[in-house]
Amino acid sequence: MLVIKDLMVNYGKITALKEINLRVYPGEIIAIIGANGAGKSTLLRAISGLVKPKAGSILLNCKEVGGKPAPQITNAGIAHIPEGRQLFPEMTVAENLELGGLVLNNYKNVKENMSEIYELFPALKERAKQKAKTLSGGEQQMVAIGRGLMSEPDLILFDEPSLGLAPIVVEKLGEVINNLHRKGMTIVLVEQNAYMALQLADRAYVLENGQITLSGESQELLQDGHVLKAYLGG
Amino acid sequence: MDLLLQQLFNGVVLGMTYGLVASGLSLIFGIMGVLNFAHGELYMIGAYITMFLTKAYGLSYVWGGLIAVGLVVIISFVLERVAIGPILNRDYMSPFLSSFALSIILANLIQYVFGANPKRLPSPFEIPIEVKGLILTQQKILIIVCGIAVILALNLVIKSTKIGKILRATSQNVTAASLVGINSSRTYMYAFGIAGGLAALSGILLAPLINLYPTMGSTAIIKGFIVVVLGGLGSISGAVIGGLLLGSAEVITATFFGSGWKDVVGYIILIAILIWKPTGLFGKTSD
Repeated sequence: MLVIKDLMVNYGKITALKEINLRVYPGEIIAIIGANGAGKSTLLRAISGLVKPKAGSILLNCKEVGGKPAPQITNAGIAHIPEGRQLFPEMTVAENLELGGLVLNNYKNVKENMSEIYELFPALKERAKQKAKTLSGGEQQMVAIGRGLMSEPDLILFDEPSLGLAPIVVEKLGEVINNLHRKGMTIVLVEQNAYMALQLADRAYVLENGQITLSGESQELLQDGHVLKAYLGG
Repeated sequence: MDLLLQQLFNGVVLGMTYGLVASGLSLIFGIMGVLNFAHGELYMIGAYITMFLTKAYGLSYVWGGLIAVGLVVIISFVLERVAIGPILNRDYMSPFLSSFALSIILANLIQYVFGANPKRLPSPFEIPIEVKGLILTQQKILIIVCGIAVILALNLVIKSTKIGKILRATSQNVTAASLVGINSSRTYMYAFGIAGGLAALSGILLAPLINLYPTMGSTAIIKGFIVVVLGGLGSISGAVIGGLLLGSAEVITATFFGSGWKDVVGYIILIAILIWKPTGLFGKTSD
C-alpha cells in the first residue's frame, strides 16, 4: 500500500532523514519508534506532504505522491493525525469534523461519516456544538482522530497520539486504534510510548538519528536486547 | 439639537463607509496576518472604474458600480497572486512593504490614466428627502442600507458557508487546514477578493458625496487603520462598530470645534486605544 524508497529529508543544511526504506501492507499497523528528535514526526510530515523530501520516492497504491502538497495527498487517501492534535480551536467539534470531510465533495457522505464518528466517540456527540479548545486533551484527541477518519482514508498516520494524555485515556486510545485495525484500516503509528506502540503494531521500525536501524515483527522487537534497553526501560 | 441629529446621521453614513473599508482590512489581517496597505487603492479604483463605465459606456450608476465591484474582485485576485502570496511566508514585513509598493503603483497608474484633477461620480440617488427636519438623501440611505446588508451577508458567509468555514479554518490553523485538504494559497486569494470587493463597494457608495482623486485611497486606508485598531484586529463586527464610532466622533468634533479638527480626533482615538486598550474594543486578547 505504501512503499518508501531511499527517502531523504533536509531542514536547511541539516539532514533530518536519510536512506529511509519502508513498506506498509494493507490492513497492517506499523509502529515507528525512536527517541526525541530521531526524525519520527519528520517521516510522517514527509509522507503527508507537510515537508518536501530532498530525494527518494513515496508510493501510495503504486502512485508517486512524494513531494506533492499536503491537500493533494489528503485527497489521495492519507489522513495525518498530527502531533498536538492541531484542531481548529475556535470552531465547534461538529465544524472540525465537517472540515475533515472536505475532500469528499458529497455532503451526504459527510453527514453519514459524522454519525459514524459520533457512534465511535459518543462523548463528542454531546459536545458537538462546543468549541474545540474547550475540550479535554483526550476529547481533543478524539476530535483529531474523528477529523482524520472523516476523509475516508486508505491509510492513517498517527503522530504521538498518547502525548500529554492521562494513562487511563491512553488505554482507551489503544482500544480505539485496535478497533480501527480490526475494521481493516491501515495505520502508521509514531510513538514515544514504545511499549504501547509495539503492543498494538504488527511490525515496527526503529528510527535513530534519521535512519532506520532496526525493523521486524513487534513481538520480536519486544524481546530485542537493544530495543529493551533503549526504549522500554529494560 | 436638530443640527446635532443631522450631524450624527451624517456621521453614521460616513462611518458605514469606514466600516466597509475596515472590515476588508480586518478580514485580510485575520486570515493572512497581513496589513494590506493597497486596500485603499481598491476603494479608489472601484470609484474610478464606475466613473469610467458611466461616462464612456453610458452605463447607469448601479450597473457601472456592480461591474466595477466584480472587476476589482478580479484585480484583487491578481494582486494577491503576483505581489502578496509568493512572499507571504517569508516574514511579516515583506507582504506589508509589497502592498505599500502596490498602493503607490496603483495610485500613480490611475493618475496617469485619469489625471490628478478631482473627478465627479454622479449618482441618481442624490435627491434630498426631508424627514422631520432632517435632510437625508437617497444616496445616504443607500449607504446605510447597503452597509448593513453587506455586513450581515459577510457574517453569514463566514459563519455558515463552506467558503466561510475554509476561511476560518485557514486563519486558525494553517497546517491543519492543509491536512484536511484546504489549499491555503487559494483561500488567501479568495479572502483578498472578498476584501477588495468590500473596499470597491465602499468607494462607489461614498464617491457621489465627495470628489474622486487618485490619492483618495491613502486617506481611506488611514481611516481604515484607525477603525481596525479601534474595533480590534480581525473582528468584522468590531470594524463596523469602530467605523460608526469614528464617523460619529469626526462629525461631532467638526460641529463643535470646527471642521479643521475633524481628522485630528481619529488620531487621538488611535493613540488612546493603543495605550489603554491595545486589543481594541472588540478584539480578542492573545491567549
